[in-house]
Amino acid sequence: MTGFPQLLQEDLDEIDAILNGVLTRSGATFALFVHRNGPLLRACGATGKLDTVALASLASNAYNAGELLLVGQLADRGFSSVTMNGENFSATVMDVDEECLLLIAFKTTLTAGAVRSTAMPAVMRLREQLRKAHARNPELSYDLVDLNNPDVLDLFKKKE
Amino acid sequence: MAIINQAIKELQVKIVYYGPARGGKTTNLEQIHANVHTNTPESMSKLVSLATSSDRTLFFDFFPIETMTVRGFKTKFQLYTVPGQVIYNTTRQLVLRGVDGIVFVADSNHEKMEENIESFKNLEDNLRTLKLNLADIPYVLQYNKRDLPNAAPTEYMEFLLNNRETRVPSFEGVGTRCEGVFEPLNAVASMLIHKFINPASRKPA
Repeated sequence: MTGFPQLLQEDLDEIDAILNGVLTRSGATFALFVHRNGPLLRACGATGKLDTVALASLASNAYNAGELLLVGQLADRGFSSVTMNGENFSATVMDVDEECLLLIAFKTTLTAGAVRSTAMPAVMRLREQLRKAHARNPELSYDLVDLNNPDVLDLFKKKE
Repeated sequence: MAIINQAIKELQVKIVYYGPARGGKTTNLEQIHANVHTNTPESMSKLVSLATSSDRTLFFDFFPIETMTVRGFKTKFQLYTVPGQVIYNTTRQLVLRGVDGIVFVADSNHEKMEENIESFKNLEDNLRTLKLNLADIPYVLQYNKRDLPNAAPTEYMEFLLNNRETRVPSFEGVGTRCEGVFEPLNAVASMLIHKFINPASRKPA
C-alpha cells in the first residue's frame, strides 16, 4: 500500500514538538495537523471543547477550494496558504506537502503575516518528518486477517 | 486513500454519498446521525452541513463516526455528501478527493432516471479527473424513495445503473423513514474493511 505514511510514536512526538513550538513562538491559540482529504492527524494547544475533527474537514476543504480557484482557475503557482479573518479569531491554513496542511488559529491581536512567518520553519520540519516516515517503510500494509468476517457485516447499528 | 496511524492505532476512511440533486443524500446522513447506535458519546460528532438557506447542499455534509476496534485499531469513518446540482461539479470533484468508498443514492422517481444516469456518468468522469477508476473503489447503490407512487421498478434501475461486468450490492430505501439507510452503509464499510485483509494470509473458510 502506498499513500500516506504510517506514523510511529516518534513521528507523533516530533509533530507535537513542532506544533507546540509554533504556538509558543507565535502566541497562537491552537494548531491542527490535517490531511488534505479531511482527516485530523494531530491537534495541539487550547482546543477546549471544539470539534477538531469537523474543523479539520472544513479547513482542508476550504484550502482545496482556494487552491482550485487560484491554481486551477487563475494559474497562480505561488499558492501556499488561506487565511480567514474573524472579529475575535483568525485562522490560517498552510501547505505542508502534497498530502498535509497546517491550520493555526489565533486571536486577532496577532497578525496573519506574523503567524505565517513564525510557522514557516515548522512547516519545513513537518515536511521533513513526513519524508522520513515515507522513507522508513513505504510498503508496510495493514492486515486485518484475524478479523471475524461476520463482525464487519453490521458495523453500524440502528438504535433499538 | 485511507489514513493508517500505527502509533495511535487508528484507521480513517472516507465514504462519499453521491447522486443526483434532491435524491436523498443529505437525508441519508441525517438519518444515520439521528439513529446510529454508539457505545460512547465521544464516538460520534455533530453533522456539519454547508447548505444554502433553502437547505440545498452548497459544499458538503460531513459526519465523522467511530466504530468498533479491529485488532486494536480504532476504525473511524468520515461520511460526506456532495452537492447534487449540476452547476456544482467542481465542488463534487473536491469532495471526492481521497475517497475510499461510495454510496450512490439514486432517485426512484420514474422521471429521474435520466438524471440518475447522468449523475453516475458524472461520478465516473470526476473520478477519472482525479486519476481514479470506479472499478477499483468499493461502491454500492441505494434506490431511494421507494415509497413514491411512480417509483421505477428496481429491475429497471438495476438495468440502468448496475449493468457493469461486476454487479455491486444494491438496496431499496426510503430515506425519510430510515428504511434501507444502514444497509448500504454497512455494505460499503464491510467491502472497505475487507480491502485491508491481506489475501495471502486469509484463513480458509
